[in-house]
Amino acid sequence: MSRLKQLARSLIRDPKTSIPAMLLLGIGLGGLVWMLALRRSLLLRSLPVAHPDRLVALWNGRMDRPERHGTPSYGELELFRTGHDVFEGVAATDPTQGNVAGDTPEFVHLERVTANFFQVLGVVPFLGRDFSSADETPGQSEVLILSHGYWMRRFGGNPGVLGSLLDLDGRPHRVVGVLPKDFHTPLGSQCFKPLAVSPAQRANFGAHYLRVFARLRPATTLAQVRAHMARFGDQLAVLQPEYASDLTAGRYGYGCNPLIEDWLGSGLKVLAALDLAVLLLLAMAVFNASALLVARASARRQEWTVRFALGATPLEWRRHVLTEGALLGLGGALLGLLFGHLALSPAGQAMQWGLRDLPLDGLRLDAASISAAVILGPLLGALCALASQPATNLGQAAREQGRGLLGGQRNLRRGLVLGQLALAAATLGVAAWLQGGIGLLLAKDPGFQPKGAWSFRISPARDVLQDPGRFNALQQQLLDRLRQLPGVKAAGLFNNVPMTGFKSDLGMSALGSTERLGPQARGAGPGSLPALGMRFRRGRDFTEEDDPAHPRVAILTRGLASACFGSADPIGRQVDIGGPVTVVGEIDDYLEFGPGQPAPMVFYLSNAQSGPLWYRTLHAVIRTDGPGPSEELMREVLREVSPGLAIHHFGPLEANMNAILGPQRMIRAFFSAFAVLALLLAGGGVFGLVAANTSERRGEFGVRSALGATTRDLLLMVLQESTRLAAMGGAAGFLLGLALTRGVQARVVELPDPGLLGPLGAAVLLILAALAACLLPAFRAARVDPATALRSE
Amino acid sequence: MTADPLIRLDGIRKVFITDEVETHALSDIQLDIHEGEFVSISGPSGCGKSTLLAILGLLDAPSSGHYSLHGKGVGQLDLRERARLRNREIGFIFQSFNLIGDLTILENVELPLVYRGMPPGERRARALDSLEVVGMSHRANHLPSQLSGGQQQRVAVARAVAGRPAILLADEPTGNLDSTNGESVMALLKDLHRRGSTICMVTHDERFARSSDRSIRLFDGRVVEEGHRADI
Repeated sequence: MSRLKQLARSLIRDPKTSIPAMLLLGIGLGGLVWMLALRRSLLLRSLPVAHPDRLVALWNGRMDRPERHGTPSYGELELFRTGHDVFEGVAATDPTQGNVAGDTPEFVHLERVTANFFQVLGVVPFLGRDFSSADETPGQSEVLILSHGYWMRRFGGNPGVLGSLLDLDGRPHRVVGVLPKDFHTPLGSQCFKPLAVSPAQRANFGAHYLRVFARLRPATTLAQVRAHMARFGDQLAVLQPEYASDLTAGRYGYGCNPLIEDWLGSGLKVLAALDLAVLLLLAMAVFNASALLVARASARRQEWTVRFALGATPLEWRRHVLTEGALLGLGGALLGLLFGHLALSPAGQAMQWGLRDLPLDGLRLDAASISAAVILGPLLGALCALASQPATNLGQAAREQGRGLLGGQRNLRRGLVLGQLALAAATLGVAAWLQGGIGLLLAKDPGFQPKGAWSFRISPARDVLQDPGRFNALQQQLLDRLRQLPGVKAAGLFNNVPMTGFKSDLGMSALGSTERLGPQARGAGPGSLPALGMRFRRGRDFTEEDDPAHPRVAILTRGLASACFGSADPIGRQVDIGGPVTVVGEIDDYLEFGPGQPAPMVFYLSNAQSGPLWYRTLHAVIRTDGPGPSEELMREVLREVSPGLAIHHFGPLEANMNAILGPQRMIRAFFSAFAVLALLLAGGGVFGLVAANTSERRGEFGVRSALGATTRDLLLMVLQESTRLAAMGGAAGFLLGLALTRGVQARVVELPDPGLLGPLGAAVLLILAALAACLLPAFRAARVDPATALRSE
Repeated sequence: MTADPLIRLDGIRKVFITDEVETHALSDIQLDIHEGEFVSISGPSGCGKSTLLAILGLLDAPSSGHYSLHGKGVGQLDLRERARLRNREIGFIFQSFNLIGDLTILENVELPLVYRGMPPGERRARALDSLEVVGMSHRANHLPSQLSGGQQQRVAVARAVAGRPAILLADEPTGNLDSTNGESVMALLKDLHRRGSTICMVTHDERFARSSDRSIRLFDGRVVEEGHRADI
């Protein structure tokens, strides 16, 4: 204990080293603690159920493009349910929307789920009951389970809500349960109702709209499940022979992945990028703290020479420096916990900006993160101190010191700072690359004009959607009313506007061709494509006459037209979309999935001919001359047209582009913040190194001055040495940064390559920052009084 | 002796002022050093020997008094001019050798010539000549830490003479050496003197003081005794 006291006293007496070292370790560990807490919170909150590791998402799709998960049909869900060997239970959800009646109709995220949905997840309602298989029978009274948040907000947490009726999409629904507080689905759905389907629908393999997941039997591996999924393909080929050729060719098949990946979505990529940034920061902090401790050990060489003379052993020295490092590390860990705690809440808010659907409010450090900091802190501190051990024995070092001015550990310290500069340059390089890549994305021509256009969505009730007469009448009234608004240049209605992430692959081919294509299927009304600013290459837009009474017509993007007809004019030719459809127009390719994805092949069918089942939500687009319309005005319009409908997702169309790039922008924001921190740390490291070196070399400067060196000579000498170090660090960091950007590109976020200019600029910026950091100590060194310096020698 | 000395100090005083204490390191120093002379300065610790040497070497400025080199006053020179003069006219030999550990022996000797702006080929030749003079040319590419103390001091002497200065200022050049190496370095200095070098040496050692042409003894910052070799 007295030894510890001595060590603590020695650290307190040397605040110039101990405080910066603790701060540095605190910053590094703070980042780590922050990351661990964020990761754990996200993982726990995103799938807040029992044994989440045993839940897997099951999907269909092209086996050569496994990243594009397709949504299975009900027939496929039933097929998966035969996999008793590996699955304890298989459930599905069909996320949709609804309108809850009230003074102002309220939009809600609604999920239609299989009766065993909560049971498979392992969630027990907080109030009331779970769904039963009887609830899945069509025609039964409709029942609802509410999320805890919706129950609190709409019903003030009143337990009497059970058994009450809620008007959802114009039909009474009985509330039978309330979910636990911590349970959220990725969409943050407020209401859940049973997926009631007829026996015919259960056998349907054509309508792909379910999100299916399963709970694995204990000790079942993903490899076993994947092997089992291949068997489902064999069964499908027997049940549905038209799939056989696609199954054989790998154009269709089944796959699975941990459910958490689906529920967290792009959040996982953000976490991966943050992992990298935090590790870089931690490494920089360790390098910097090590350099400080090396300097401290060097300065205390005289003391240890005496201690050795008095009988201290090398073991004693090691124990001393390791304990000292561990004490500093413990201090760093406590600071790290403080920093991590302070950064957690802003980080949650920042992540909600990019990943709106994740539950990130009220983040806290958990016991695991705290334990990690308290264990890792002393270990890292000891590691830093380990670097401070002299390369030669102390007696030898003391003799060297007396003879010349070469500090025994100066090279080690220089190496540590060099490493730190390289890491900082690499972090800056990645940030610059992200900046450049996102800049290129934003500069891409989207193929339509988001600027000046506003959009909102409505989600008509299913009975309206399934009644072509009522649905078409609703569309016509809404469109007429929107076009009458002052300042509106154009208006249109779609089943989906670009850059919302909506995917709807549909098999089609040129009529008579055997080559099946999987373009995106969309619906639009007359005047809608021009309202969106789509560019017609040839042919015409939809007209009022493209209705169910006339032959079906389609408008194709250029890429799809080329795939179907080569360079021939597609106008007047026919494609097979569940029957012959005549191509009447060709538009430019456009970025349906945002600038981060290539323009897909897309075809548009006329809204009036496309069949209401395509629609869950109707997207309205208005292009105005001046300022955009207000949400209140849109609400008023809707009240006139269909009083029970709620408006949702109102905003400028450009917001879609920002939202779809949310993860990339957030990764850039976090990396930029870390890059600034890295720059400061590197600057601090260089300042410390140059200050320590010049202080140690005062005698040398005195000698040089005695030999005729001017202030300018000495200043230039220090600056040249620092420039060499900074240039080496910058160059190493540039190369490391390039390697990291390749890794980030491959594993985290796909961006167009903006070239070497950004990382190169980052390296130059680091070199300049390092030079700026060494100016003050360099000036001090150059102004050394030679007489005083030599006297102290 | 000629009428115009190489160095003339007239009424030199040096006062160090710390917080509340005023220390008179040198008081009313009158000293002439002529070309070709070998002057030794001795005295007890703290008597002002090193301060006097620092003033002579333009490393420090006197609090008052007049210092002229080659008949020209140096009191008004700015830092840059003093550095230039130090480089061309003065060669230093220190007690603790003060070789720069990161540089080789040859690079150490070249250093004053680097600051003079001499072309690399010429300064290398000059440095090798100087090393030859002190018998260290065979260690030109070694580092100082690879040499013994006596060898390091010989290199320091080579560095001091490489620039062919007007005067060599040696501060206790044998202070960190054993007697054998001390004798050897003194023999080297005497040899340089015989070849025409002007030397001013601070020493504790009476034996070495007696080797000089003229010996000056300081006590409490004043010259208390001065004598030529013939007088000693």
